[in-house]
Amino acid sequence: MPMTVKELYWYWLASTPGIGIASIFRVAQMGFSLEELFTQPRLIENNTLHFSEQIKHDLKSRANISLLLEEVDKIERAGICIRTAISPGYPQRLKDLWRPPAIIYTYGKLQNFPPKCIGIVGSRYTSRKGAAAARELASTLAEQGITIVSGMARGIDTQGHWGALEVGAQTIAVLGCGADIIYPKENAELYAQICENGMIVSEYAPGIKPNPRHFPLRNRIIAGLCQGVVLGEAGLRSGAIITINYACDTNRDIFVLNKGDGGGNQETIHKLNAMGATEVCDAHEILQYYGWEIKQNTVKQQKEKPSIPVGLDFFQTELYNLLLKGDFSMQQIIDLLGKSASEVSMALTMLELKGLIEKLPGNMFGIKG
Amino acid sequence: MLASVWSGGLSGLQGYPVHIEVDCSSGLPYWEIVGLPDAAVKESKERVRSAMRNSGFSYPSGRIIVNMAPADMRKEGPIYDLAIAVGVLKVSGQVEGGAWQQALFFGELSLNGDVRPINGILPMVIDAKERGAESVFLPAENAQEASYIEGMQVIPVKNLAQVAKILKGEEQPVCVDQIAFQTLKLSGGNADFRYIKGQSQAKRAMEIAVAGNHNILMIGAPGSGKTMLARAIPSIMPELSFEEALDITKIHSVAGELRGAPIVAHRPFRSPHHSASSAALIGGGSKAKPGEVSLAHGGVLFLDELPEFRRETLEALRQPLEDGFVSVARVNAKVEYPARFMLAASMNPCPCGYFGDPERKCRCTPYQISRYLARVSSPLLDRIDLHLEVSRPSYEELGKETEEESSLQIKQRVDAARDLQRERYRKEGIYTNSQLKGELLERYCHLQPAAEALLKSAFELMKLSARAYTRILMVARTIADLSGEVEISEAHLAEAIQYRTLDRKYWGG
Repeated sequence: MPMTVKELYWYWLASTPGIGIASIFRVAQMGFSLEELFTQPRLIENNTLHFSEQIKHDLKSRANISLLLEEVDKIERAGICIRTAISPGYPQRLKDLWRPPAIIYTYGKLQNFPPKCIGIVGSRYTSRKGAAAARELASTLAEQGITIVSGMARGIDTQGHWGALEVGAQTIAVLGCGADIIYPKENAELYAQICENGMIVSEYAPGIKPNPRHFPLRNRIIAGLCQGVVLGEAGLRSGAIITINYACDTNRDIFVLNKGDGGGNQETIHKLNAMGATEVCDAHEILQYYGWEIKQNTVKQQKEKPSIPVGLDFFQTELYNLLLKGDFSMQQIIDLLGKSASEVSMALTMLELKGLIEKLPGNMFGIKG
Repeated sequence: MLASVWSGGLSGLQGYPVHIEVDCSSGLPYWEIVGLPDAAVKESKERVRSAMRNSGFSYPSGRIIVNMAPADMRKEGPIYDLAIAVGVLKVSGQVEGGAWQQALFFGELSLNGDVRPINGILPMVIDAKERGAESVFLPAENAQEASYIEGMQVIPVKNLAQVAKILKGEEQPVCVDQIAFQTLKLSGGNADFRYIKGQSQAKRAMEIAVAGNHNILMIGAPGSGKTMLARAIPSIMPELSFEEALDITKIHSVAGELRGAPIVAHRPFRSPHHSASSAALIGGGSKAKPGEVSLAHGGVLFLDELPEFRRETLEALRQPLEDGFVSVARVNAKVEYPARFMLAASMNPCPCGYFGDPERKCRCTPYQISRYLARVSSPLLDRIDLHLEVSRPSYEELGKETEEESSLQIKQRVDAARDLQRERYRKEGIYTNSQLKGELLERYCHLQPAAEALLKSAFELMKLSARAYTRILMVARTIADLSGEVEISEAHLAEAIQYRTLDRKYWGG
């Protein structure tokens, strides 16, 4: 859909660095339309607008219809969709935010914002349990037709996205850099998958590099796009808490994932409980909370791991049973089972080849899954 | 008047005879040394003159010309002082050569006439022996080293006056007593695996590595005991034979690394710091001295913090790892030093060192980790057969009162496995499994269909890299040898697969 002239004016103002929704409100309060501001450069000089010299210069130099059309055309040709706050494609939920983004750029196959969205946030540094819990939650929610929103950061965010993609569902990633920039770098594969199956959202113009101060602001968009936000494993000072605070301010539901297995940070769980969060141990509790229908017989359930592995010899079974209790290092296994290093190595390889266990960093072994 | 004295020089590890001629004629006082002497040899003029005066001899006046033959070999170091002094004494008629005409003289002189120790005695005396020399005068401190050469009369001397007395027949030369090689071997042992608590897998990996002469890489957090494990490796290596010991001593003698020991009686353990230059590691420099790889010949070269070594330094390691010797080119000659060693390296799993540690959190990004790992080039990794993850022992493990296996017990198994290999490869010109290549690998590492299937599924499931294939086969061969079996079974392969950590893709992702 081509941009209306009004949207173009809005784009002109909103895409100028240093101008946010507050500046646009001020313009409105001054009593003149964006069109007047665009066509009469002297209005920009108005002191009550509090524009810096740089902004004034930027605005004046770009106050040219053909130049703007060229810019928009370039962005759209790259497949990126521009949605200003007055565009029909702008997600209405974002307007609940105290300061919604004046403009967002979206990229990817998904065109419209789905009605049921749940955010999953958490620490960038996760334990294996915390990561697995977040991924499982995301998968189950995604299977029930709920779109997972997160920030594509390391750790829980990444797990949330992959959880959704695993079951072939769509997912939305909100970035702290231009929608065409992959950050962090190692998530290149994830980025590509999200583009194919979901949407990348950013309030920063294409080409803008990640910047530490972008990320807390990015978090408000995650909170704004969802009905509720789930906090996975996170420390008390984690950036994910910022998202939770935004969610709180925007009147979103807050859930905290507590599987009761010692995963997750207990202090954080207590703090969130005090804030009025709902403690959940699986996706179904969230679905029940909203009264959303629970579809049965989904892909994930068929994938349940075999409870009694077959074809193991006595020692392998013993080893498997030990690992069911938790992750152990090579030395611990050797000491606990009283076997030689070579016997344990052998059995571990065999179990690994059967797909029952996996090797973890630091010479640890654990049950796969 | 003309006098001549024999001495020797060094080209790499090879000694050669040096014939020193001293001519004295009347004229104004004058001194010249010809025959490509370096600065240290030229300066011997002052040492010789003072040493002679202070030992009660007169220094002849007149023109003195010293010629060192062969004239096209560069003579280095202060080793000719004693020989030149004896030449001057002879030419001035203060001593007679007499019975000692064919004897060799080595040693640096101090101004008061004392004889000081020098480097590289062993190879020079060995060469002299091969050329038929029967007696050698050398500094008392170097005498033990030369005493291991059968049939050579070694005359230790303390000062110039004593040399003169022996030459004049006023004093009978004392001969050195050889300290039995076996006695030396028993004294001052290496570290022992008995003192390392826990670490069963690491010890097993060391056993395999030594049994097949495989190079090994240890990966683990700081304080996990990597260095301690490496230090214990020589204690389970096969017994050092006298011939090997002599070869190793030659290198150490030339490098001046003997430090008063008569002979290297233990397998060397060298651990150069990661700031070492490639000349320090490989050998070379202006004097073309042997480097760490040669000093580790017959023993272990331990590179701690492998990724911290300079890239070109590590690259330079490839030739010695492949060929077992290094050639060092210098201005007018090319020197070859043997460098057959077992490489043991260690590294942290990530820049901060705590990746995968159950107690301490690692704060490295996956990108930083992959960059850190990439610092070790794949051609070098290709030459390392075993990768071993070492985890930090817990307090309980350290405090345990269990009896650990001693190095001697491990060594017996290693020796048995080495015997099997020697027997099997007798006709192939190789000694250990680590030398298997191409056609030999196919012949001796044949897999049963069941084992073949296991390896195939391991490749698919664990996403092993291609280079892992031959390494796993070689290590499995050694594991089979350790258990005394002819065929490589599934069990042997399964164990070998555990030692390919770096080929696994879970790292940093």
